[in-house]
Amino acid sequence: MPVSLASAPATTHGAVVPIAYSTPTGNSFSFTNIPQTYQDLMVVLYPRDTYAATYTGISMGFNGEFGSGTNYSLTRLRGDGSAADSNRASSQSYIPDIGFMPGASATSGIFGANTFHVLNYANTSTNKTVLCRSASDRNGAGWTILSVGLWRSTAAITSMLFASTTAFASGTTAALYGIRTVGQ
Amino acid sequence: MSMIPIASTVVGAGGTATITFSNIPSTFTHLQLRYFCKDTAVNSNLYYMTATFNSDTGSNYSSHGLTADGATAGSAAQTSASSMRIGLTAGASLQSTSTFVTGIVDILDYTSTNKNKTVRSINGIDANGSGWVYFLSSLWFNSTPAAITTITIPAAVTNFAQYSRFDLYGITNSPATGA
Repeated sequence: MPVSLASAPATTHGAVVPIAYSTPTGNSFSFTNIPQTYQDLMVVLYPRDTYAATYTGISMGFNGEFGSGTNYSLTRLRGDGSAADSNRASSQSYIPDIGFMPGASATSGIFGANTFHVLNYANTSTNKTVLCRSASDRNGAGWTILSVGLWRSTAAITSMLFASTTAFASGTTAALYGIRTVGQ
Repeated sequence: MSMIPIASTVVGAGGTATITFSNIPSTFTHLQLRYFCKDTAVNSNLYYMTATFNSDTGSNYSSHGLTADGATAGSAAQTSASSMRIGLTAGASLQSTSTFVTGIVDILDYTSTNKNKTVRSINGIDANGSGWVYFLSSLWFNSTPAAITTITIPAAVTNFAQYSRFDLYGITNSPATGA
């Protein structure tokens, strides 16, 4: 009988446990009913957008709060092969452009590599911070980005939403992992 | 490859001046430190987070980093320092007492006795109108390379605040049992 990774201790079955997997093709997708039994969350997203541009951003929100309120903000470092810059967004209704992906105008078959880390996601005394590394090279163009986003809420995270500009292109994959600590 | 939790420290109400991971087993290939922290200093200032290995406080550390504060991208370096930069942290007043710095530190080949130790770190905090991200590489270049058995991380100013936590993981080259 197969052993459930989630029910076996991290010291024998590893700290990184797959929770959910998706191949989205709509404007947005969500991971919902996220178990509260891990220490951190990690999302590995390999997307492309159908939007008619060479690249476009990935937006993010938590617990159904997306498009209302002003509880999100972002700080970003970006390098595009010729210059490095930094920008910020404050008091937003979602985290804008925390990651990036190629659009329909980019060479076909090129997707963006994005990893999102949310540490301490289930703690109800601290606001929620997400670190994102995003990268895509298009042989003469591209970027590498490190972003940090804030959700000014002490609620435990039970769902995450990721949004494209138009729609996630076919071939986009998204995986949610729980990361266990000692004793989990 | 599997990631296995080795040790975890959560800071209580009284705060903690120093985080120490000792007796680190030599049975893994790499280490990863994941942390969520803030200083109890009553200000909004930024400070470097630092670490030392095996209680070495000689001039055996260096680093190069990329920084961004929401307006300007920059770069900073240290050479022949007595501790290694692994990120930035903030005083308790930055944003609020409920917003913490997040960081991930990768230490590859930590048991090698013929290679100096290269460390890769990402770190950041957003404070809704302020904050930064920091991406850096650091080096421990003591004269005789040694396996890392202890990692010491002092609070930058006063103490690590309540709810700060540090989790150390070992990464193996072999699959976890049953995985």
